[in-house]
Amino acid sequence: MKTGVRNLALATGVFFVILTVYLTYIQVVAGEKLYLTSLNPRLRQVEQQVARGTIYDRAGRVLARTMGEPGEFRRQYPFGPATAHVVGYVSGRFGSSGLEAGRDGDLLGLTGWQGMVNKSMRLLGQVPRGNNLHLTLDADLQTLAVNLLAGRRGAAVALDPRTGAVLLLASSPSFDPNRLEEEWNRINSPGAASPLLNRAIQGLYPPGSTMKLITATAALEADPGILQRDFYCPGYLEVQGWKLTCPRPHGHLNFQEAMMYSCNVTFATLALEAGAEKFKETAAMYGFDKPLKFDLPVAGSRLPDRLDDGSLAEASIGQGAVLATPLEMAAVTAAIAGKGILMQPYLIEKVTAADGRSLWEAVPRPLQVVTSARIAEEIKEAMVATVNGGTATAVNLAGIQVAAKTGSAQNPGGETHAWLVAFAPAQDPRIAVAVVVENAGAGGAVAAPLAREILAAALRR
Amino acid sequence: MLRWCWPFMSRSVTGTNRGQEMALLIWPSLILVAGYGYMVTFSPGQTGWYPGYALALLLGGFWGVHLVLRVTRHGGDEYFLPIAATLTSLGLIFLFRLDPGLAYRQIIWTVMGLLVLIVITAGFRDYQRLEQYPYFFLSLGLFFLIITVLLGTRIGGAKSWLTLGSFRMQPVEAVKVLMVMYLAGYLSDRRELLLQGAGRLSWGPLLAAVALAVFLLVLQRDLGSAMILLITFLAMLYLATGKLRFCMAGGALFSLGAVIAYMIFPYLRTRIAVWINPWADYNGAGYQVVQALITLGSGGIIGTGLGLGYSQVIPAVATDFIFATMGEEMGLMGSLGIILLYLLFALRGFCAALRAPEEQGVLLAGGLTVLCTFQALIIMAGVCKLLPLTGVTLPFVSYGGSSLIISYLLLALLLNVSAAGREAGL
Repeated sequence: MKTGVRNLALATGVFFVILTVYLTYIQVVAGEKLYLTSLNPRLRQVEQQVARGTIYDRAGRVLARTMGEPGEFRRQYPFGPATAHVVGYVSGRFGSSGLEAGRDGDLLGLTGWQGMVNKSMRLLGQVPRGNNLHLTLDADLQTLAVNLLAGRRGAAVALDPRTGAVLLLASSPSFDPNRLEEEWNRINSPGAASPLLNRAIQGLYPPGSTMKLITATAALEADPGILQRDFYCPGYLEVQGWKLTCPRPHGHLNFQEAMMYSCNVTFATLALEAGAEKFKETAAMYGFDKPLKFDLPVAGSRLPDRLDDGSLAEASIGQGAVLATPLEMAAVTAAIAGKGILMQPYLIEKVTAADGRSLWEAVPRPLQVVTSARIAEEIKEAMVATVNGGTATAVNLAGIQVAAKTGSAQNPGGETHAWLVAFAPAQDPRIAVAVVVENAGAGGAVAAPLAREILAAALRR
Repeated sequence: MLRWCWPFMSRSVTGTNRGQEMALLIWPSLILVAGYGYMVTFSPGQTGWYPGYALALLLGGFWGVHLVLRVTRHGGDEYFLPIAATLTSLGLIFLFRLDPGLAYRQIIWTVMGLLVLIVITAGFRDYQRLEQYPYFFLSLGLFFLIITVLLGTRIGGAKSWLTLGSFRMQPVEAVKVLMVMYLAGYLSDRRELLLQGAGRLSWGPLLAAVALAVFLLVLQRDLGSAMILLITFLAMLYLATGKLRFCMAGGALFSLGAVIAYMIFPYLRTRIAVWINPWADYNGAGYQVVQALITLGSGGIIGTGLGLGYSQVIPAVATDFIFATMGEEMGLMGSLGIILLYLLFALRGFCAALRAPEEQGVLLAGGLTVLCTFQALIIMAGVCKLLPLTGVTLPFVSYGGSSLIISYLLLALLLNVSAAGREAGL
């Protein structure tokens, strides 16, 4: 019986040790992260005691700043609707969103050592200043893109393929964070098409024919010989008793022509030849089916779990259960522009203290080697041909060679979603862009002119 | 045995060192004085009690019990009272910080608890006499449970309250102690029979009684209490028989029951889903756990300081979630301190069991120690999401009259068992 008591005491002790270790983890290791969750009401309390840091764009233009006296701080957003989704808002009544929510720790100076110093300053009644964020974003491009998308639902994303820096992350419709009080009812009314939703990173769309960039990569990796092959498109392809069609029979064509005219039959055939395994693997390299680390929460782009021949054929042309965010499709384009190397997308260039001291700087780093430079080059050639004589002629810029791919994604909501992904200049890409306009028609007709304006504005400087 | 109790052994092996108890009572007294300072500083204009009265009543209560133990030459373990007093004092301060009204009522409950302690330690020292009527305790316990199921009021998730006019009580707290007393009496009586093959007749009533109690608790949706009762039962069964396989079998049955309950009761599935990922529904079902985690995380190592936290956003913060408030305002240092106090309590309890002169004592002390310690462990682990959340109180700390009075009753019984051990000359 005495042994029993001892064993029982031991077992109890084990429980105590487990609880102690776990509690230490919660309060110390995970503590700061838990504290900085936007669900923490304590942060709203700190809000009036700390001068929230300023948010700048890549050229040092102010995107968000704090005005007024302690206790009556007001947040001002000079670019209003143009940067509303990325910068977000912070409000005692409506909570917070965007970087204002995700970077509370920096903006309010709550992290690490600085957090402790600021905490004691607050206890002494002083008003500490938070840190400033310097973004990779270009406020002019933002304004342009939001204006181009005005009155329509859609998104535009632009990356620097050499670094992964996000130059543009626009979503439409937008809202004015300076006038939340007045606009809140309108914003949340069912007819407003969810202006709070950041379609660029939270919108999941069937990618349509822009998916053929991934299909092409998988096919070329499986068999480089397809470049010399002659394909024949009778206008349809039967897979498992299901008919996949092209708008018209394309007849005889090679790989590059298949890309130029966006031939569904050829790409479905290529995907079936490469196999579901290879297709899924390639899409995963580009970032499908796995969470993308980013400075803002990104919806996961995905393929169906199981791909039989029918769904593989559908997926190869970006239909069926395939869904992608505009950011993901911009990343795919940037990877091809970057000779097969996908750079980690990032939005925050650096964090500086209130006195200007740099506290943290982003270091561009490759996220994934997706494919070989040779295959990326072949796909680029096909994309250039698409601009010069295929479906994407509307994106053509005078004096600068653009490479692009269109998409017109069928969806249950009515007209097709118009997609265009592009990068330029083709020989030395400085920008990769993805544009989607919901239920607007053909990509080459609707999305291409928008992408053209964005590329032109970005490359003018 | 000496080795086991090493850090907490009184200097003299025989006899009890009440002087040690006196010295240790200084700590809860200091905590109370600090609490008095907090009361005076932060609520000078408040109607209600004069802080001085509250302080005098509590100090008088704890020191009074010490004096009574001294005068009656009670041989009980000298660490129990200071540990309980420290926990109660800390609890009172945090209750005051959360809701002064609750703290005033809790002071009355504390005094009543201490009175119960005095009555039991002075009047019913011979616990063996209590143990002669196991079926009486069982009947009383089951009566309480059935009446709660039939006439109970649902407050929060569990239907575990009895309302008499403006007076409310939670009989389940008493039921747990009654069940331990029943088990201690029954198991020590039938120990030999249970171990023999012919003991089938002895197993029947035992398993039926425990199963019925657990079933009634599950019916009230008081899953925490059901779990604690089962753990205590298995622990006592192990103590009585020394056979791990009975406990294994019991544990297996328990798991089976848990799986079946999981499939039958939708509210249980919600609980588990919330436990696995409270963030999925952070504004609904997961709100309490998410806010508790944020509260604990906001405390960090040294805490925000008393009254500077923001844990009042957690529903039921004064009862089930008071540990989160303590973790925030005293930091990891404070929350680990609370855990250590329960660990000390457990060690002293098991020491009392080791020293008990006969089986009843071992079973009673062991059972009560497991009951109290695991209740504390389960709610502390629930608050920090180590285990699924089950709403039980933190013994000696949480707000609640039934819980506090029964905790002091439990303490009194442990004191009596430990006194028997010392008097037996070990």
